Amino acid sequence: MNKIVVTLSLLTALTSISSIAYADLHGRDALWLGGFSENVLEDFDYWESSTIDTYNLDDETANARLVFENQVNNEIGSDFNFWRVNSSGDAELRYYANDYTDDWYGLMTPYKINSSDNYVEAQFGDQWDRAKIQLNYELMDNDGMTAANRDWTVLHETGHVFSLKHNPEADSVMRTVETSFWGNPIFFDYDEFTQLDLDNLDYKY
Amino acid sequence: MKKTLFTVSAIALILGSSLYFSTSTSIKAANETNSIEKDVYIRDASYASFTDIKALENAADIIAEVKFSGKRETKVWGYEEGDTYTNTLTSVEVKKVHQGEVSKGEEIGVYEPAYISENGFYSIEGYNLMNKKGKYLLYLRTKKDGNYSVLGLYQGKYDLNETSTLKELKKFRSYEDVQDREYLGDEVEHFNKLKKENLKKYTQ
Repeated sequence: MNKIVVTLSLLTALTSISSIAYADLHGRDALWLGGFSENVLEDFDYWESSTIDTYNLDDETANARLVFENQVNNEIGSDFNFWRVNSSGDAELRYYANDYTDDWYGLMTPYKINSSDNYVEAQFGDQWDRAKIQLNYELMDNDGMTAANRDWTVLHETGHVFSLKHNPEADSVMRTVETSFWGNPIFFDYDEFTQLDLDNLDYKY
Repeated sequence: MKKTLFTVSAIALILGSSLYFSTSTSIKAANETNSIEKDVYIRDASYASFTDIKALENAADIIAEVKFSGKRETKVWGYEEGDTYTNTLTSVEVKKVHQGEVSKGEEIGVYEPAYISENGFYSIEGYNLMNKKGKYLLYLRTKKDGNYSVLGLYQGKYDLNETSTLKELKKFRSYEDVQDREYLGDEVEHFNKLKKENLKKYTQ
């Protein structure tokens, strides 16, 4: 009996340790070194392609912006503001939706201005001058995403714009999509940031 | 005291040099086909993470062993100004079919979520392109145009000739240093788990 108790205790401890080992990312580990400067994010111009409206993602993009302007600003004392502009050339953040052929739901690409004054793809450690969010509506539809799941996906991608990395298994907007035994994606319904996300944003800004 | 000072200085110099190399972003254009010194850009995406081989099998339209035919083209999808997406359409020969409606000997097109340009190597979630040496097990989704996409990005391609466990990727200087590595992303533990299950099922 004692042996069983000891074995079970050890197994429990080991499981806990492994959970901790692959656990939530905090602070510096949860963030890319680079990104937009806080000044830019306080006066952040965005532009949306007509495809966002065509593929019914306009509510989701608007919700994501509101989360930053309301929840994040209230919780961490930041002053992020999004401003819509009429020309994509004037925007620091641009949104698009299309069928992008590859097996992902959302993609954020950062850009910087190079020495020739051209926008080029940036590394995550660089200072960014522009970012693009692409939403793969075809795959979203194909895999049965609800509006709530789309809310989460767009908020997740906007989190990347603010330099948040993936936080794979955490209670976090930045966690990754999992699948069931049957291979069906299990989407989440986060419509605002968790405390972990807020702490990480607070760390950076 | 002098020996200590010398040793400390030498260590500092070595560490400083290696740090410079590992964070250097110098780009060298490829002049020789076998030498590709390019920066690597790895993008994070929202994608489905498959828990195990069963989940992959259930989600895939096609499961097949293939060889790269040697033909591929970089595809630049221009949807509208500012909205481009680039990947690679790779031709592979089907060697063995485990699931789905393709035939042995058939040549099929597979979209790979990575590409090489004069500016660098670009990858979604650390996916690396197939090469001529590999014998690949692919999990594929059927696309409307008759080609296929790799299911789950890096999770849908396994080189059955590579049986060793992948180690965590240390800092590297250019694509040349990692071009033969099967997977370039952070989810090494996850990749190895899926790879192990696939090797067990399809090579033993």
